[in-house]
Amino acid sequence: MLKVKNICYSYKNKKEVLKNITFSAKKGQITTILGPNGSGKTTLFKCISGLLPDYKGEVEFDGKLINNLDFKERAKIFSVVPQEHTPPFAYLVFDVVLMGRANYIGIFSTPKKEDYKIAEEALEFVGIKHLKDIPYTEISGGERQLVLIARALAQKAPVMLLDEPVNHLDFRNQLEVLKKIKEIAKDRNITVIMTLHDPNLACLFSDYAVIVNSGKKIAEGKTSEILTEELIKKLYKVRVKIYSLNGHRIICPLI
Amino acid sequence: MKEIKIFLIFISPLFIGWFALFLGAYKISPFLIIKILIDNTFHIFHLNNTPENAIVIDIRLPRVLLAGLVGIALSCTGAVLQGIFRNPLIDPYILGISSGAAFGCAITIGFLGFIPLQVNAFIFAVLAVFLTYSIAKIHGEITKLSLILSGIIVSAFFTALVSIIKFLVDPHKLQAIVYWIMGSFSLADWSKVKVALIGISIGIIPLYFMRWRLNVISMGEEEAKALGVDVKKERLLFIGFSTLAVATATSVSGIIGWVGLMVPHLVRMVVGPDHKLLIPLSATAGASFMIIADTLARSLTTFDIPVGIITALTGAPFFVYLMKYKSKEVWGKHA
Amino acid sequence: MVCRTNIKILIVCFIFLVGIKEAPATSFYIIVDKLGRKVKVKTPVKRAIIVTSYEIIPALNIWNQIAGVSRWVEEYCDLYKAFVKIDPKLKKPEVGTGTDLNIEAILKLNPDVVIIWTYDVEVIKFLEKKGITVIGIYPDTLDDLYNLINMYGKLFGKEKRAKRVIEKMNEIFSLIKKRVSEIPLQKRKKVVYLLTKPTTISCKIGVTNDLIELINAINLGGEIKKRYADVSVEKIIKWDPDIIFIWGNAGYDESWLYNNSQWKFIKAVENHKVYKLPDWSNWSPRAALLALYMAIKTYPEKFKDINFEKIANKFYKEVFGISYYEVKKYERN
Repeated sequence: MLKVKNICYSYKNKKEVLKNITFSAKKGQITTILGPNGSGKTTLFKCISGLLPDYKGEVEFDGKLINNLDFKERAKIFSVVPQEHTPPFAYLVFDVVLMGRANYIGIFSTPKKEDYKIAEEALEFVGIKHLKDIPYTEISGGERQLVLIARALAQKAPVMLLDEPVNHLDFRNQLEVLKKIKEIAKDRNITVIMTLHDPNLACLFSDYAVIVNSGKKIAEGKTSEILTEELIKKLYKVRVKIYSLNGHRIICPLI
Repeated sequence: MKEIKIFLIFISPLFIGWFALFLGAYKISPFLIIKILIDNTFHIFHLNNTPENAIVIDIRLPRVLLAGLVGIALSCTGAVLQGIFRNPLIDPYILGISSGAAFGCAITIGFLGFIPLQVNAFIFAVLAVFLTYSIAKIHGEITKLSLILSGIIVSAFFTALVSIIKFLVDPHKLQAIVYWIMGSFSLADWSKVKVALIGISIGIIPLYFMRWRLNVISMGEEEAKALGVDVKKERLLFIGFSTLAVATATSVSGIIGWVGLMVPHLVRMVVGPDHKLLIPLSATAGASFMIIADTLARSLTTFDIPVGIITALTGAPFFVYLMKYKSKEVWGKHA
Repeated sequence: MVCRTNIKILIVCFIFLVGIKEAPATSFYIIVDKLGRKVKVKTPVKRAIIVTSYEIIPALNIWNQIAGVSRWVEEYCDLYKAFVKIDPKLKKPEVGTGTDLNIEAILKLNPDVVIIWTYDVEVIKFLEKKGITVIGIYPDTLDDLYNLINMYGKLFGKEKRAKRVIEKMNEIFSLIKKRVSEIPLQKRKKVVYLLTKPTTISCKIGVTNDLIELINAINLGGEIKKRYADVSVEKIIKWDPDIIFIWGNAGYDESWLYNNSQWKFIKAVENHKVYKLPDWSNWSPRAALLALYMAIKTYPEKFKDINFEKIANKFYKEVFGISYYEVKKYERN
């Protein structure tokens, strides 16, 4: 169980960007931090993942305080999946996934057989084993995102953090990637925290949501329960109608 | 197929170095050369007091070894620094080493003649990197960009100092300084080989063991941190060991450009960017390349051309070729 | 009465004519310098700036006609240094170096001509543009050297003295030639002349080469048609010279070669026939003495009865007007 308590953050000389945010995330499910652009969700994400270390408040995992851990200790608990990107060198997909084992490999060592096995397993689980020997720069955006997820998986950390993982993927890839993430959360019993700005995707894939706006937490709870038409109107200043179809909730903007 | 290429690159210095022993101004029959080498290992033929022995053992062998060692130092650290700075256009002199060494040389020839040139060159090369690091830290946070910019500043500073010294000394000393800076193995001997072996090994061996981490670091600082890598500390280690190796190499051979830039590229084109292979193969390819360049330098004409000229003449056209035909696959996103 | 006026006129005419004869003849001298430039100089030159070949000053005794010298004059010319130590009034203003002239200092001295070596053609062009008469020199042969001395003679109105200097040089060259002319080709010694670095050697073009040939030795570097070149140690071993000379201003000496195992098998090193020459420029009358020095070291058996210092002293006194021993104090070797 990941607990986030009273997080406050302000960038140098600027006003407070995050004001007292508290929420928790359970194992084996996806918790989405949802909010419009500029709501502070990326800042929140960076505080949790350790990229912005000077926040006020506490982050706890399974009762243990995370705040002051160094990189190596943090990496044992959190794995971070950034948005897909192109690196300066054209590493093979397998090499990228293998990098997830960095925390377990000494500074003067190279990956062992064990590490290779784990990387292979991660690739297989995510379903991209066939891409193993292809340069990372030559696959599609969606496939790259999956590679980064496989890498996070290889890291064998109990919490996986994803920052806008499907932002610039096409329609099909968005669904494929999010499906995979859901599988991972359930199958490996990982605490998944994901930031999204599209409420429909949150509805479709996320069990639990934390709604953030203007640096404050607006709501927290099961997605199906807290995502109402009023909330969306308040959050995005858009009028919508929510329909139920096949057990899924669809949010339709009223144009 | 790839495995064969890897194997060939790996053992290339052995047969290229071997071949280089047979070339030189003084014609010696290959049989005699082999006899001499056997004799010096097993002491059978007692050829110790012949000029041929002196040439093979005292002139060619140390020269080939020195070229090999310097080639290893420059190429290996070139690959390492390209990984650290996530940029394939970096060469090992970027942090000010070459200007620092040039200053050490100039100040020895100009004023401090009682200190051996090598020692001064080494000291100032290391000092230059130290200065670069300190200046980069000025804003508290050392970033890739701040390191590169400081490197440029420190290089410019030392280069200016060298110019002042060049201006102040008489024309003959000036010529000596200019010649040293051009880079050459013409005065290679066993004492230089010993120094190079120690300094370069102390630098390169740790780099070899740390090489896989470069994969992670080259993905980006934030990503590497999230994967559990202490980027600041490891970068410092990489730079520190690289500096040691390159400062030693520069102190014994002068400034030889292009090798540290070109060889890692060539190797990446054959085996890919995975540093697990790239680092050791850059080292061996660098040794071979340097030995070939130096052998050309001393055998092409009657004179001994400074080897830096040969590497520069091959460097520029090579880069044009790279940019024209191979940019995408080699440089990834920088295409 | 008419007679007395006529006589007065005659006397005036006479005085006038005599006056004309006695007046110094100013003429123009046209030189073609090393760069092929035609330079017209008004002679005799009263204020010259020279930044190389300083020995010509005491040799032609033109102290009063020199307005400026280079910064390195005392470093590189022990003769100048000796004279200036004896008579500090002789010291001349400095205008920078041959490779780096201070234009303002030159202009301030208002020279009739600047004589400079052709190291940097741009400098010569620059001086020209500023309206200064410049002569570029770079004697590459013994003949060039003679022409240079004669040119100086004409420039400074000291032709007779210049001729005498050359005569004295020739005396020494004759002395050498007489004793070495009969050495047959097979017995001629092979020589290598080392410069700034032990692997930089003097080649075909240059006064040094001519001097080596004059003493009937073989300049091994002569097969390369340049002024100087870098070669590998192997090449020198291949050549296997009998004698090795080291340039007087080099930063190393014989012991460097003797202690270096790479040079061990060269005849000259084995037989300890490596000699560092006195640090005199060979663009000067002392080239003759350098030749004698080299001849004595190369063919000692032919010069057993020759006392170098005695001959040098005689030469110094006759050409420069100073004792050899007085100058030797400032030699750096």
